[in-house]
Amino acid sequence: MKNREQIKYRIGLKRFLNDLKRKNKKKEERKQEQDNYLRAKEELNGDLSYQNQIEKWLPSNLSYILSNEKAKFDKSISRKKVYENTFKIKVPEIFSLIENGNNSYKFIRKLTINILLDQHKTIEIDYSECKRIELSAQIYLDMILQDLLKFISRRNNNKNTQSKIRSLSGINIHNHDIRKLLFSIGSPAIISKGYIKFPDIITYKLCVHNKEFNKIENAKRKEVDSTEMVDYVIDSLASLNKELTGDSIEDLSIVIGEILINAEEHSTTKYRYSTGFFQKHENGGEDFGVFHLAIMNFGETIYEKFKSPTCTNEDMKKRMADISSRYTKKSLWSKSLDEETLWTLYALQQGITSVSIESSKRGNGSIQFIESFFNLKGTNENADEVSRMAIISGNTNIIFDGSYNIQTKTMGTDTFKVMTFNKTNNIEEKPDSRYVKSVNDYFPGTVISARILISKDDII
Amino acid sequence: MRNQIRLEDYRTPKAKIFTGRDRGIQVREDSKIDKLEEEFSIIEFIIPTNLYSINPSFFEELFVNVVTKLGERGFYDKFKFINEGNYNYQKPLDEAVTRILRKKTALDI
Repeated sequence: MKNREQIKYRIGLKRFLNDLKRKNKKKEERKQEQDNYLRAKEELNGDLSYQNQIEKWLPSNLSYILSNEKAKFDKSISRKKVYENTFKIKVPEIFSLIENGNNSYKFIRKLTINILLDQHKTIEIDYSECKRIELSAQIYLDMILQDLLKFISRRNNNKNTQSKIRSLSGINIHNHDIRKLLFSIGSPAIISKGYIKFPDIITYKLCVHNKEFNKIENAKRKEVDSTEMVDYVIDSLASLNKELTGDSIEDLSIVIGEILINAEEHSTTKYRYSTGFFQKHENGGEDFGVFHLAIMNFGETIYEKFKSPTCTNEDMKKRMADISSRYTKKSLWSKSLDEETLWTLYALQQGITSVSIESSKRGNGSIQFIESFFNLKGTNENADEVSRMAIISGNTNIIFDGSYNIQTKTMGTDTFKVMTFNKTNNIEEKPDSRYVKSVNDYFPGTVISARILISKDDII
Repeated sequence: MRNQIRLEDYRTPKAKIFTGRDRGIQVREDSKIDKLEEEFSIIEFIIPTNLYSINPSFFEELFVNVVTKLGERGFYDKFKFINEGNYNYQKPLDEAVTRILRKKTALDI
């Protein structure tokens, strides 16, 4: 009897305390919500309209991309009425800014705009028809999705600005290679931290660097980031009991380091993004794997940087204009070749820089990483057929697959390395339009992607 | 002040790569290389162990004033490079010296 009484009291007290806890929790939540609401109101200057949320809360890179008319995001806004809760979009069969630019850019624009329109509860990215993903397209999409989710999460901090979207996910990811890429370095891994360990891939996380953070640390940062990426390849090969030669390590360091510098110095927005993954080949053959690399920035393209009034190297601009004007005079412009394409190609040549030459010579980084890329790929009969590099900047695509190599030219006592993409090795002659071309779709910055075969020549 | 520059002293923690013009400028200023060049007839430059690469752009900014002043031959006569590791620094160093002394660009055809 005494025991029963005690139990009754104990239960009563427990219920009271739990109730109190619940009430306190609810009170805390209400307070938090009120605080978030007040903060949002303050951040938005009292105007909680969606337009103002986009203006104030959208991360800077995404805002830059969307506001860039040439990127044509506004063309993807549909006036169709929405009745379904779910928006499903299919990833193109080949998701690549180079090989299937038209469909890939269209897919990215449509997905971005539909997330921003905020009309659906569920967004499904359908990979059922996707057979191959190229890293430059994936890094572009990943960056956009990452920024969109930051925006949505900020909106979701209070009821008054809450997004309709409840779920955003990839579906039908059946292709094994795509699954590997997505869950080791792609969106699912980045967004939901859904990293999956595959036996033949060591994961590498998207590296985002804000160059305005600290100038001195910034200079050192790229040395650490480059080292980490080279270490990543070394570690991947170590799991196959393989070791890179000193020369291959150096070439890999230069490819990564110089592209990172390029992405950072030439970006007119604050950020550079880099990612990579090494896919091991355990077939007992003479190649041991492929290293995929993509480094990207947003802002003025290579051509826009030279064209801009802020480019103070007038002498260089004049020289580029002189050479390209010969095409204008001869009416050699075509759909695949215009001033932008040529200037982008000229900008890669040795000694060419948009920066005024003061303390020393500049403009060697591009030819340096191209040369190191070719050292890894091999040239002529020693070239492998897998390694390839591409530069996408604005409406220009430049592809390095070994069909053309770097040549050395002598001028008086000076020697230069040139990459002309023609048989005469004369920069004034027309480049081969299969490798240097103007394309319809515009990338709002520059992305450099490479795949590098690591074979017996690179191994000790 | 000693007639010696140990590159290891300027290494970024966790890095095995020296790269970038901005870093070349930092090391040029921090090591006071231009002043050392004025004071000593021989300067030892120690390349550390455990390196992946030294990009020419780094060497270029580091040595720009001394190479411009001394010329290629004078530079190599005065600066003695001592390698503590296995990294072959000669290629990027030669490339940097060539770039510093080059007067034209690839479009000056």
